Amino acid sequence: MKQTGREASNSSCAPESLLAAAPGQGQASVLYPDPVIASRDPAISPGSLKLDLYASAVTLEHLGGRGVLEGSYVEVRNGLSCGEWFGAFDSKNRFQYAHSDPRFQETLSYYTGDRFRARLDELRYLAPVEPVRIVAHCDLRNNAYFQFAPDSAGRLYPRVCLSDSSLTKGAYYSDDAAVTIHELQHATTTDLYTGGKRSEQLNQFYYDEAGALNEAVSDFVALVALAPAVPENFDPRQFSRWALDKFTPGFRGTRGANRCPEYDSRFGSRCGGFPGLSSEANTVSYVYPDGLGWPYADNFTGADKVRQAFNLYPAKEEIHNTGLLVTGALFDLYETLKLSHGERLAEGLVMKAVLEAIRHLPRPTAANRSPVTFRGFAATLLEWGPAVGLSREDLDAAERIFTERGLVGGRMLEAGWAQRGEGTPESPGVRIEDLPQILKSWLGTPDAIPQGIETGRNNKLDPGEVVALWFDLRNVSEVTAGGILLKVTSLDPDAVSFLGYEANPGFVAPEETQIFYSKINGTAATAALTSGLYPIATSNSYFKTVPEFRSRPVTPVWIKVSPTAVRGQVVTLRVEAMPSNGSAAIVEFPITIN
Amino acid sequence: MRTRALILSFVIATALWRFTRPVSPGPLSEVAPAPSNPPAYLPARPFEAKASAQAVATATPAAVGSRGLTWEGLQAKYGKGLRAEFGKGGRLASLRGVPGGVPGSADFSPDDPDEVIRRAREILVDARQLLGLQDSLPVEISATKTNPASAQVFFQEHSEGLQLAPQGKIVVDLGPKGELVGLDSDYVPDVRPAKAAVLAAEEAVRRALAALPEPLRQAKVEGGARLIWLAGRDARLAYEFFVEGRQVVVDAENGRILWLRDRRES
Ligand SMILES: [Zn+2]
Repeated sequence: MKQTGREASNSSCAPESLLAAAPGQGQASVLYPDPVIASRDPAISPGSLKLDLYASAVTLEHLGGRGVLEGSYVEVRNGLSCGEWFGAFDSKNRFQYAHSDPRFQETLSYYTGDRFRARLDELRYLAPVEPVRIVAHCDLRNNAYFQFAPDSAGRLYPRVCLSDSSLTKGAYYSDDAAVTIHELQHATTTDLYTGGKRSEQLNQFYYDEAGALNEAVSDFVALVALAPAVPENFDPRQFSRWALDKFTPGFRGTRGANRCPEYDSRFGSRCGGFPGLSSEANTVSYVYPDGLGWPYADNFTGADKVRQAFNLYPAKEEIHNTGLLVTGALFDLYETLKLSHGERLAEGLVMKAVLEAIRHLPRPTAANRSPVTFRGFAATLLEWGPAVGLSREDLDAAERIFTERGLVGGRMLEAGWAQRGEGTPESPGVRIEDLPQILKSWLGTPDAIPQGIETGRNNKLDPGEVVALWFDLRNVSEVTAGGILLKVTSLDPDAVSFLGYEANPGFVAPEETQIFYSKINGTAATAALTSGLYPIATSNSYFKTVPEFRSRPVTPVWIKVSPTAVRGQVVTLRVEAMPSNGSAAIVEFPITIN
Repeated sequence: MRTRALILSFVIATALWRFTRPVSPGPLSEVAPAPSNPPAYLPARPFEAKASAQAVATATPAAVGSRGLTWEGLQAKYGKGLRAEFGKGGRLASLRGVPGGVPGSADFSPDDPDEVIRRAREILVDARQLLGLQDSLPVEISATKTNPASAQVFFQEHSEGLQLAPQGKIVVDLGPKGELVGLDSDYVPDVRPAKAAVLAAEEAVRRALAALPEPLRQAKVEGGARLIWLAGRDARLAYEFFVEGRQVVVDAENGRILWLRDRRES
């Protein structure tokens, strides 16, 4: 294996030629699962000089016998210092380093990844079967991710990248086992759903419930895998108490599996307001669909935190955020099964139930480009639970928990729930972005935006323009609509048609495309959020449910107006809105060509 | 002040946990060999064949040479409880059954790749008319997943010897006894031949980089596989590249960007 960019003199990198060493086991020093738990000190920070005091000795398993961190389940490389070659090397497999040594993080990544993937194998859900490459100290980009990446021959292989923080010295994502497991689970989820070694994902649109489920499963699996390591006075439902909590100065990005967010007025009393939604009482419950879109971490001060969360948190539809309630439902199930089966058996049962359900989720077709929904996943898990050993009592518990979370049963949206909303003064019913500077930066292919500033700042459809467009669907039901797939058809395709896949991930044909909205408030949720001391400026339309919808190119459809379209002509876009919790509704949006 | 700090922090945090972006298939550099006695619509020889034990079929499907079964025939054979959705042109788009439907062979095991592949091929041959499968647009097995509870077989459509994208996939889902519990298809039966490539790979690389934001334009470009990209009804010969996690598909005739997605799952 040839490495690139490695400093030959860098003593923290393995030699290019690896000699035979002892296979099997090795010794290591780790802070597991993260420095907070290892030290039992919630206030410990990446800059602490005491970290080494809390390291403990562990045994590494499944080593391949070349003296590097290469095993049957994972192999760990160093991105920054060794050009993605192996870093730690010891012919006797002794991987004991100080926290300040980059090989410390490599070693913890191996320990975490090997344990996690060995357990998947034990459960018969090891996917992909080949070892996953973990790149510790991957880069300086404040991120962690999984991808099937191409090797030098163009073959795709599973790769996890764990960055170093550029914001905080000594802060490494590879020091947080929750992050490592989260990313490794993406490899498993993606492989089970797509067959693997492909550039496909569970996610279909930028924001959809498939993508959110992908994130929820990764968070849940990390929580449940690490739960036995969490002492009693720490919250086992807090995800990433190190990286997401401590790496970005002035901001906590931590997520969790509790039934309400940290800023809920009754978070400290086990989310005592559950199930509830009230701006005045500062209560939000992670119940589908009204619990979608509320961030988890408490970054707010004052008495109106729920209102602040709505006003200040700009990514309500973002998939890590909307997945929270599924993470919570699965952790509820784990804790319930733990009472009857014990910790280890409950963990195995819930893991198997989740992973088996992923195998049976529907795949995209032209009729539905994003068919996976939270409710569909819950139903699939219940259907396949018996095949992995869930008893009748276990299934009853699962059904009860999913029902509490709005993932099973509940009141459905009635036929005709959707109407045309207010939209914008320039284009009633819709919002049109036609400003060329914005569109070019969003699309990445400037040539695709023909218009200049003359017509490109009136938020209307002008002949010859390419624009991004959102539909202001209004929900006249009491029930909030969740997981809404929009099938959009141009009834005047000679005048307005849809751009291809390069812009519309839901492209079906020039006259048809699809897109996904996370939720649209019903009238009951609107009342709960707009009354009392701390009214929120929201309403029962898409634009008022997700006010920042237009700040990113994640939920528009991209439209091309024919240069020969006639000014004054009224064109119609027909939207079939299919929520996961009720009937499809058809709404027509007439738009006048300017 | 606090509001501004929060929004700024959020910008940093979302850079940190970047949203993942959508999906379409990429090329499969490892293509399974065809069965020793393939049905008519499976090619006699694989494209870029590479041995893969899991994909070797051992049986000759019963319906080779036939047109396959009607919907009623499929229900009669695989279970009256099957629910189907038909898409454009009346083609079968998806099927759902339940565990406990009509079993496969008596000794079927979802943990046996050979058995699983044999059963999946049988289903595809029976459903070939309903799916619209064409001899000129063969499907090949791209992956097989087995365990004691169930099995899934992933088929990929090819045109002119190249993988089709972003559509052209069929997934067959089998229960513990080989019962048909699911099938999803976005197989395309009418792909017009693509025009020949006129763009050299080097020029396609340049186009791919130009479509990315500035910091990525100096990055290493990987991949370069050729595939047939379906843009509406048009088949386009295309190059597929990867640049630091971004998948970029470039039209090999005119250099247009057909697809650009961040494939990193953060
Ligand atoms: Zn993730």
